[in-house]
Amino acid sequence: MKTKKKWIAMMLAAVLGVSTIMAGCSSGGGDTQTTGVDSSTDATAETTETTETAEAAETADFVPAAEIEVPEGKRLAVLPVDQVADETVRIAVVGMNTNTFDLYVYEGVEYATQVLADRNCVVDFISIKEHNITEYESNIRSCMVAGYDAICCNGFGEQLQDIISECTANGVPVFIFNNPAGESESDSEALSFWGQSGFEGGKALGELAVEELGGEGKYAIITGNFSLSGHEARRLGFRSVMDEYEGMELVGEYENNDLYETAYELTTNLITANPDISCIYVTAGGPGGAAQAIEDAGLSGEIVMVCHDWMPDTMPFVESGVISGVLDQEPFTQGYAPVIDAFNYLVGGITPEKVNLIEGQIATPENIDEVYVAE
Amino acid sequence: MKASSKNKQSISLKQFLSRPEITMTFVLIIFCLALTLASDVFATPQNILNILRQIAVYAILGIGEAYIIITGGIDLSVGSLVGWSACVGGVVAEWGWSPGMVLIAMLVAGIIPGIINGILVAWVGLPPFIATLGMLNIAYGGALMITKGFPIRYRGTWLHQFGGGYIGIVPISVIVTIVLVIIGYVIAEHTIFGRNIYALGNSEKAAKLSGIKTDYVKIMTYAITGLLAGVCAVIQVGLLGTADASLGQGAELDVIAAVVIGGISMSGGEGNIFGVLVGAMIMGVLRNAFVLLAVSGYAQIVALGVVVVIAVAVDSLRRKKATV
Repeated sequence: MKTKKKWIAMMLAAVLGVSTIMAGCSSGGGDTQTTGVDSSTDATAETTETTETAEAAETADFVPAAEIEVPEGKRLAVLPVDQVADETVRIAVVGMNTNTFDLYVYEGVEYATQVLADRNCVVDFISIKEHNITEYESNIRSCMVAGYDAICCNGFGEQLQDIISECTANGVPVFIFNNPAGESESDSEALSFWGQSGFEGGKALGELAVEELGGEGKYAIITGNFSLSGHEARRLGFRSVMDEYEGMELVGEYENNDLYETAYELTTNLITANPDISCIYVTAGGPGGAAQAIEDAGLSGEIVMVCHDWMPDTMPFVESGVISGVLDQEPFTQGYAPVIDAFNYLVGGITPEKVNLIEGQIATPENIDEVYVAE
Repeated sequence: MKASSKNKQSISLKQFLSRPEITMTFVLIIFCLALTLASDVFATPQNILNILRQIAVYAILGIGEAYIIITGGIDLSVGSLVGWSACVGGVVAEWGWSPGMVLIAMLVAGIIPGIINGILVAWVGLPPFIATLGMLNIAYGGALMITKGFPIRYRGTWLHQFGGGYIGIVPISVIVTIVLVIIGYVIAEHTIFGRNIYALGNSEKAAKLSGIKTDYVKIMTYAITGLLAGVCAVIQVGLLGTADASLGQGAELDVIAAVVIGGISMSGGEGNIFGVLVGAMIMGVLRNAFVLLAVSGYAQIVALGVVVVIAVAVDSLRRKKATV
């Protein structure tokens, strides 16, 4: 028994040690994300760490907007006012950072944080673990209770309208990105929306696919999730184009839950079931899996594959010609712009444009060298 | 004399045919026959090999899960361990380690959490559901931490043959699956360790009293499952050329479904490892059928749930009948 206890103690100590090392390695000096604020905790939110602390601006010692450096390959869609907040402004950004797209959004948030640091503004990234209404609602509520001056978040869907209205009624303006909190981008009381119209995005890719195919052929859709409004908007946008052509035949629509391996499996089965399939559209995560399956089947260039987001697992396939078109939705802008809007509203009294649609560019094998800057 | 001998043979045949894995094999055969009639491509070698390749992960993980369920436990972390092991492999590959060392790293990365699961269940006394649920999150979070959420592309080495290579027209992953299922069966049916697994599942108290080191058996079953998760990580990375934290996410439910459909009893003490392969095949054939027959996405989700419920219901009714 004593030996057993000794082993347990050693094992637990080893696990703790490894965890500490891993946490240290992953922090990379200054990574200060929270893992969700519980509304039952103290308003000071002991688990919250600031991404960068702003010094009291007794002197106007900040980088003017005109001199702010633009990161390579990105654009600064909105610039902060050349003012320093009299009292420290606190902005919360509620989002995920567990997948590549959200990490690019987070890059935009981090950049906004750096830009605003010398303007007496603090930005906290509240990371949630799952993309569902419960996580968003509870964390937004917690931020409101914790006394943040403004909240930025993924619009998720119309289920967020109530909490957005509540925040607004309590004097905490909300700025959203990626998904509109409703059927249209102006449905909610959020002061601004930055993102791409899912329907228009799907439509743009549909038009590209039709052009490549000459209006004839069999196609399939692999969607992330039938119950997510953003994915559905894209799917319907794509279908709105395809359905206009009698020669375009839909062979099936399937869910892959954003999983790479599921996209691979579905694509392999689709190719087997439909050897003459000519187009595959992936609406959300895991498109690299579909592209890999096309490449492994030896059908690069013979199947038109279109998808979203310039990611490390899609762009190599565009370069090699497996993917015919990838639509960007500027995740960096979606992370950066709402935070700047919030600051400008709070400090400069500037009400932003309510709807800021990101058209995005489609990267193709022909133009990838011109439009895409590899990370 | 002769009549009595004949009765003994027919009873044995009846018993054989009523075994759950045999029943499910007949179900699988019926599914396949129906699909052969409904689709021109189902019975083609390419499609059959595709199905076998697609079920490789479920079948391999199912071996370990079956051992654990037979002992009366459960492991919810199997899916996350695949992603964790894959990411460990991806990270060390980025450091410049050789493919051989990457392989070892992935296997070790699977075994260690498996051993921790086993210790938490056997020594600390945590319910398996809780211990492995915790490990599910730890493994997934750990994979995200070490990769910072970005997938790692890793391709073009001999290691990738395990996932993407062929011997003739047969994917190597299929061969690996079949070999592991055979090894799993032999261990379960023809080794002392295997018999101890069943004894533990039938009655832990009786097993202890008869001198079986039940803690050791439990820890070993979880360790084996972790090792198999590492093997699956090798296969997945080999096939997809990428190490991603999301690899294997959600697979635990499909693995448990395959194990249960294959006749492993959730109450422990019973089941045949070949049943795991049958269960995984049924799941794979269903998924394949959804695409071949263009079944609506909504219906697919319902159908998979219905199959699992029916399989468990049949098992429950069979047990009830046996105890009456």
